[in-house]
Parts: sequence; C-alpha cells; structure tokens
Amino acid sequence: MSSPTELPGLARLMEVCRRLNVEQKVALPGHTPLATGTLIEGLPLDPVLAAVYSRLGYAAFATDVAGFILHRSDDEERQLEAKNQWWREGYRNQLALPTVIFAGEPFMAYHFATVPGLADAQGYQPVVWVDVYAEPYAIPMASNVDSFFDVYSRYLEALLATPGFKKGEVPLTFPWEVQGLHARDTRLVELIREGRFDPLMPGMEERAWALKVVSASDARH
Amino acid sequence: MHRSVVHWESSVPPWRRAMALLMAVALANGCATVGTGGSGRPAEVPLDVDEDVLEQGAKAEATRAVAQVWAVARSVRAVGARLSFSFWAERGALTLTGYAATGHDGSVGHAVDDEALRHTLSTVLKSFAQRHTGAVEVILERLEMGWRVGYSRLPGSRPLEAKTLPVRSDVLPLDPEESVTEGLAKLLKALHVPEGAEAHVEVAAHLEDGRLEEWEIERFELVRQTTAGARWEPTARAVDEAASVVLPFTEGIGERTLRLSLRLVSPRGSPWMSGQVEVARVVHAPPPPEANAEFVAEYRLLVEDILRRWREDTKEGAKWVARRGVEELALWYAFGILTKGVGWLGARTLPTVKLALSRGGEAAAGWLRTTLKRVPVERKLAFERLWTKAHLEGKQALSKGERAELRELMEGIEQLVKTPLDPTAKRKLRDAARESYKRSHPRFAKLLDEKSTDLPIHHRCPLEHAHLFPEADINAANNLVMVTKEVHLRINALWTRFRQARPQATSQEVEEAARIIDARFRPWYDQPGPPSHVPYSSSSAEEAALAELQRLFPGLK
Repeated sequence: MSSPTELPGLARLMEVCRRLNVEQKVALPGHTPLATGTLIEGLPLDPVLAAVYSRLGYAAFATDVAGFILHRSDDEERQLEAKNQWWREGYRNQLALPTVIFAGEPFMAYHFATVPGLADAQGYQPVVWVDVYAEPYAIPMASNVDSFFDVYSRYLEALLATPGFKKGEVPLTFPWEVQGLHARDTRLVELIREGRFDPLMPGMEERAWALKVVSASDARH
Repeated sequence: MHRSVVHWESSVPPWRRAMALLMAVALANGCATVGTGGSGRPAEVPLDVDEDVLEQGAKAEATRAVAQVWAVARSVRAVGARLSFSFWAERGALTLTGYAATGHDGSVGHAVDDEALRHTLSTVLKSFAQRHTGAVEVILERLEMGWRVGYSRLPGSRPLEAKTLPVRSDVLPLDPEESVTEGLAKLLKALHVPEGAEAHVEVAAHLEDGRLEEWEIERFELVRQTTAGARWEPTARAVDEAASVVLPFTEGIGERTLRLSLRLVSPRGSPWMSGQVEVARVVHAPPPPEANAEFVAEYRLLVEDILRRWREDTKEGAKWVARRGVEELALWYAFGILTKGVGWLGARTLPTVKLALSRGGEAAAGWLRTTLKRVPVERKLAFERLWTKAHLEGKQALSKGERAELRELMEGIEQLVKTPLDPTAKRKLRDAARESYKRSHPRFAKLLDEKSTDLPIHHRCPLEHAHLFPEADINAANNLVMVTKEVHLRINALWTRFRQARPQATSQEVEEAARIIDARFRPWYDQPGPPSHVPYSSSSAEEAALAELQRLFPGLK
C-alpha cells in the first residue's frame, strides 16, 4: 500500500478556489507528516490522505461560501488525532462501519470521513459525509480522498453559477442537490451498486440519495 | 399652538420675496411636533443617504410640489378664491396631506404670469421642508392681478402617508395622471346635474402608494334643485381640475383613502357642468387586527425606503430589492402578502400562510424566511419577483400568467409547510439557525466561530417534527439554544427513543416530549460549558428525562 504521487483533485480544488476568488487557507506540512497506515484511534490512515498531509498540514477551502476544513496535523497541532479520539468516544460506534474523520464543515456537525473497511486493492479508502445532528448516518461522497476534492471543486463551480447565489446564502446544497457530480465517480457508483455503503445508510432519505447517484450515472452512459 | 403667517403678493420682485421668505422660514422654527406616524419610533436615515442626496432630493421635491400647486391654481381666476395646501415636510420631503378651496364665485380676475408665483412657492417649499419637520399650510389667495401667497405652520404629528425622505426625481414612475383623469371623467359622467342645479358629491379614491386602485361615490346630493329637464355632463376642464387636486396625493405612502368633496354646478344656459374640489383629505383604514403597531411601523419604514429607491430609478430600485431578497426584506413581503391577501390570485384559502403571517413582526418575517429556504432557488426567485411587482406596481400589473404562477407558488407553500423536512431543507435550516443564533446572542458569536462543532445549535422542537407546527417558525429565536456536543448527544438520544416509540407522533406529543427535555436540560441551554450550581449531572438529567418520557409514552425504551 503506497501513497499516490499525484493529487489532481486537490490541485483542481485549489485552482477553482483561486479562479472563483473564494477563500483558501493552507499551511505547510509538518516535519514528520503522518505515514500511510498510521493507526488513528485504531484505524489505518488512508494512503491518499497521507499524501495530502505530506503536502499540507491544514487547509480551509471556500469557507466564505460553504466549504470545509481539513483537520490540522502538523508541527503546531495534531488536531486530526484529537478529533478522532472525540469521534471514537462519541459517534463512531453509532455508525455501522468504523470511520476516520478528516474534515468538517465550518460551524456545523457535518463531517467527512474515510471508511477503512471499504478500501480498494490499493488501500484507497472511500469518503463519506456524516450527519450527526440526530441519529448519525453517512452517505457516500467519493471513491477516495482525491476524488472527493475533485467533486467538491465541481460543486463550488456549480454553486457560484446558481441563479440567485450570493455570499451568505447557499442556494445549492452539498451533497443533497448535486448527485450528478458524484455520478462521475465510476468506482463510487460501483460501490453503491454493490450495496457496500448500505450499513451506513439506515434511512430512506440517504438511500434515495444514493439511488439518484446511480440513476445520474446511468443517464451519463 | 404656534402659527406663523407670512404673506406677500406676486407683484413684489422675486429676489425680495425670496430674501423675506428665507428670513421668515428661519424665524419660524422648532415648534412643529415631530411625529412618528403612530410608530413611537423616529424615522431612520439609510446609510447611503448623505447631505448631497438630501439636497438634490429637496430640490426635486420642491420642483414637483410647485408644479402640482400651479396645476391646481392656474385655472382659478375668481377674485377672492382661496386655495389651501397642507403639506407634511421632513428632510426636504413634501407630502400633500390636505387641500381646501373656497371663494370660486368671485368676479373674474386678469390672467396672470405664473413665473413669479412659482418662484416664490419653490423658495418657500424647499427652504421650509429642508429646515423643518412638521405640517405647513400654504395658502394662495387670488387677487385681481395676481396671487397672494402665505404660509403657516400647523401643529400635529406625522401622518401615516407622509414621506420622511425626499425622492430625487422630477417625475415619478407610473405617472397616474392618465388613469386618474380617466377614472374621474368616468365617475363624474355618471353624475348628471340638471341645468340650473348644484350638487354636492363625496368621492372616495382608494390609493396604495402611488397607485389609484379604485373610485367610489359615497354621497350625491342636489343642493339646489330646478325643474329644468336638461342634464349636462361635466366639462373636461372640471375633470382636469379635479384630477390636478388628486394627483399630488399619489406621492404618499401606503394604503389610504382620499376623500374628496366636490361642488358641481350646471349654470342656466350652459351646456356643460362645471365643478371644483372643495376639500380633499386623507383617511386611513385601521391596520389588519393581527398586525401590531410595531410591525406596522417597521413595515412602513421599509416600504418608504423601497418605494423611494424605486421612484428615483425603477430599474435600480428593483435591483436593490432583488439583491436583498426575502432574507432582508421578509417583513415587507410578509406584511404585503397579509394585507393584500391571496384571494385576488384566485387561490384557495391558505389558512396556514394566513395564520403564520398574522402573527406579525419578526414571527411573520422569520416564518417566511424559513419557509422560503425550503423552496427551490428558482421558485424563491419567482416568489420575490412576482410579489415585488405586485407590491410596487400593483396587483393589476401582474399578467394572467404571472397570477397563475404566483397562485401555484402560494398553494405550494401551504402544502410544503405541512410536509416533513427533507435533508436539503434540514441542512439549510441548520445553517440558518446557527447564523440566526449568533445574531440574537452576539456575546457567543466569536465563541461559536472558534468552537465550531463543539457547540451545536439545538432545536428545542426538532426539525424532524417541524411539519406538525406548520404555522410556526422552526428557526425562531425561542426554539434555538446553544448546547455542548455532549449535551446534544444526550438530548438527541432521547428524541431518537421518542421517535422509535411514536413514529406518528402528534404535535401535542412532541410538545410534551420537548417540555420534559427542556425541564431537565434547561440549565445547560445557552451555556458553553457545564453550568454551575446545578445539583445533578447531564447524565442524571438524561436519566430523569427518560424516566418521565417512559411514564408518559408507554413502550418508549
């Protein structure tokens, strides 16, 4: 299991933030970035996420319009580890599959997490979006962390092109109104079709969402 | 009562009249009552209105007012005729609030040059309106060779229709001249006065902002009867004269009725009927019983601000409204919908919409904001566009297609609020709840930004049950509390158990459950950390609440 050398999704997200003139804050990586497979509260760190932390110690993307914040893990602070300790003690066991949270939406209880149990042959872990406002559940986001950056960059493009968009209002909701963007990720669609995320989606609404991703994928082909 | 009267005649050179006037205006200061339009709140000046804007506005207001006064006076030649125009003046804005005319039976005077009169009026009105807030009566007395002009200050508070800021435009949009003249001609045509007779007519003109919505004859009485058979129609001049009295009143704000007392005379030997407006005054219907005074006053300020921008530049004004949207102008939309109703759209009765908006003030505005967050963006934009048009240009301005679109939108909203929230809506409302909480609890704003997910905003009545309370704003300030994530976890666990035991809970059951949870966890509400002086832990609070819920809802595990 090795980390990828290229992260085109991350590069695209950074380019989109620049082009759309939305906020982007990044910090240099720590001197000893987390290595692939490092155990985070007992779960292996995803190789793509390890590649990200070898380039960035912290990042906040588009938080002035919607956005998300990559938990810090550098020489200054080991937030990723601390957040996952809190996660393990609280919500982690309420989800049917163990997850590692690595990012969150600013000021909201929505988290982005990798699912080690669903890793592919290369060890790349898919990403889910977790809502813990009521009974926790998760919905699939991307087949790996870099694809998640890619889909988010496309969401930002769509958001800012939405009629009626203005800062302070989010007329296009991530991820609920952008199933078409997730449908581009063929590996993700495959995992959904195979029912691999089903344990994380106990409710009708999240299942309906996943079905829409599959339908959107079918419509593309 | 302070009443200063200044007189001069139009034979005095304009520069001397102007000087005398400025001095008189400067002397007559500080005695009028600054009214509040019944609001108890002084009018506020928007941030983008500076001295230059006020100066330009005052000039434009005086220009329009002079043209309007002259339009009434120019045809009056009866020596001894006395025309009285009552204005409310504020920051250069002039709103005609009353008119009276007497002495139309005098001998015919010479035609006079109007320039001197207009110059004098302009100086009086601009100077007075810029320097004083209050009512002023401008009196014109017809002399053989000209006009004598005087003015006096009147006591009284600001009438509801009065502008508080000047409009920087020499001409207002949707000039109602044609519709007013046509409406009056039609109305007066129906009132035949026999030759040699005289009639007294009371007419009500229903106005909304600058639009004349409806005419109504309230009384028709022949005060001097004859036996002559011929009945004559009013002259075009009589119609024009009456219209020239009505038109300046369309500069006011809000819904109101202009009551006109007209005297119509059919002189013997003349094939036409002449007439004059003797009195014109504005009366206001009481606001809807549901709307409280504060709601009305706040709405009134918003209406004026929007209307002023729109009157100055219709395109820019409409853009300004669109930029703010329902988020910032919720009160304007809410009150407008409440007062206009939806019956004119041909819509079914919308009891929930009506009940929600009837609550008035922030309750109504908040409900509308929250509800429209649930509507797809294109429908929200359509809602704003169509209601903006109905408010600014009148209901009649909406085409058949637009009415149908708005009807469908409103009926959709009535249904939507009774439907459980979907995940998109929940997410939008959570976003909005956090921002709303920060606004209502500024002391926690920084902390909420720093602590992010550690301090969630909890809906005391959860979003999952919002549809059981369709007329309530689920994001209302009294439904939002800040708790620590640990407490949120405990409360959510209780609600999960409740939902499992009562999947089809009634609104009453939800209220009961919320009451129990509130009672046990209240000490933790709006606390960034564990509360002091509480003799039990959050874990004990959860246990106690669970026990109570189990007693009330058998089967709850």
